[in-house]
Amino acid sequence: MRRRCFLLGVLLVLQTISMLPSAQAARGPGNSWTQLDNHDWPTGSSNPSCSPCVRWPKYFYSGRWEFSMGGAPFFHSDAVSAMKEWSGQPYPSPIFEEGPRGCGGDVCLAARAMPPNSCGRADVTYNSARTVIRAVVYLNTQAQRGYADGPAGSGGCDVRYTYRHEIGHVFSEGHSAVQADLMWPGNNNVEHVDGDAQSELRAVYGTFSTGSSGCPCSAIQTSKMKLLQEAAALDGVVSGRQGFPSAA
Amino acid sequence: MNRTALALIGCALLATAACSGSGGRAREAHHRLAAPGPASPPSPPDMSEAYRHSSTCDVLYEPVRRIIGWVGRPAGGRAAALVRILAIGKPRWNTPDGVRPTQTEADAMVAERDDGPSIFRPVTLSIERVLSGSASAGTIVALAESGTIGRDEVSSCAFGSPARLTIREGPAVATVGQRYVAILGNEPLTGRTDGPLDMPVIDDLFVVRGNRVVGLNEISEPLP
Repeated sequence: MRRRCFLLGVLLVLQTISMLPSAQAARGPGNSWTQLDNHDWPTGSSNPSCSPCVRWPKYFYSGRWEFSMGGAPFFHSDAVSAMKEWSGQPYPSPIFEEGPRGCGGDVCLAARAMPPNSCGRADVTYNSARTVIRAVVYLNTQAQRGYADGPAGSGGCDVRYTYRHEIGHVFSEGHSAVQADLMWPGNNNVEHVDGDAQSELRAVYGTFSTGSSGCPCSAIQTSKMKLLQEAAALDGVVSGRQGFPSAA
Repeated sequence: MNRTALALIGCALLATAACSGSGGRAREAHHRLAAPGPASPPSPPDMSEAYRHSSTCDVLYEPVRRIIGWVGRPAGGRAAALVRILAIGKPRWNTPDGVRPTQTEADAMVAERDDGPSIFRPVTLSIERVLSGSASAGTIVALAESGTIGRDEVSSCAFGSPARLTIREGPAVATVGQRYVAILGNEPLTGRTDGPLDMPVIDDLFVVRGNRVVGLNEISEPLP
């Protein structure tokens, strides 16, 4: 009996080891955040930062985003919440307000056919000065099992993660090598802008004190805080969850 | 009630608790996206400027075998095949003649097939075995989205660098003579999303080592 238990224990240990997130180890030595244009990450870039960085035209840029897809109502409400959360980040990063339905504006949220294991894609176009001109975020009309309004089971995409991850690219984020991060490139059901993503924003856009002289910083901070509160409220209504990370 | 019975009840309770914990997720409804609405397509880029374009994706880190099983379903217009790279050509534009599109051509690309200008490298593949979907046997030319032409540069999800065909953002680079499992997709020249794959795009390459294939999660598994 004891021998059987011992063998069972060994099997359990081996099973546990085989189930460990080897992807994280195998991805190393990557960075916890990278900028969008660090193409050769992780092997070609030990430094995740950039100079000049691919980013929106100026500090405190204010633009417009548009929504252009069909589907269940949560596709739109989750998009609104994700865009508000990113726009509300406490840095001189852009603020995007929703425009009319369509695919104009600075940022378009649309859908198209992609490979069946893809959840989302962000296309960012920038000029030779590395200034972003326009971005399109796509969901996949051929995703294998479609999208859930929250954590998805095997083979499914979490639309909240997908929007926040892809809109992160729009704001200048590259991928993280940390499996628990929002900007990890696999669908890990992380649904909020986390500290590593904020580190990238801080590196690319600076802080309010370094943003620019004469900025109406307190007004912008108030506006950003309001966006975060709206995102949290919308998120809560849709999911029943109340929690929301602070923007500190 | 003896200890065994208590243990069994305890196990049952734990299992029930575990099941109810995951049940919330299991009950999470999956919703298929409707087809993209007929809203206006994305604005075409200004071709009088340098064109710099970066595509970045998030994907399901599923085993390669499962991804292969998903490929080639009806209306998917895709195929998975065991291939060997015979040659990698110079970057070219996704126009019929391979040259940089004019503004009029770029406008037409966006309006007619909801896809903008891009730069691809033609990759000659010897198809050793079709794993799913349908693809021509023998040698085909597939297009890998990535490259630099003059001031213009494009990097794609599948190949994360304009300078070379880096597979995703990992250490592997597509190399002539090596074998891969290729996921081949729709046509960039016509905008079709169904077959035949007479000039497909490489949606993904998975490194093959011996009789094993390495997935996105870096875990190798036997070739199907």
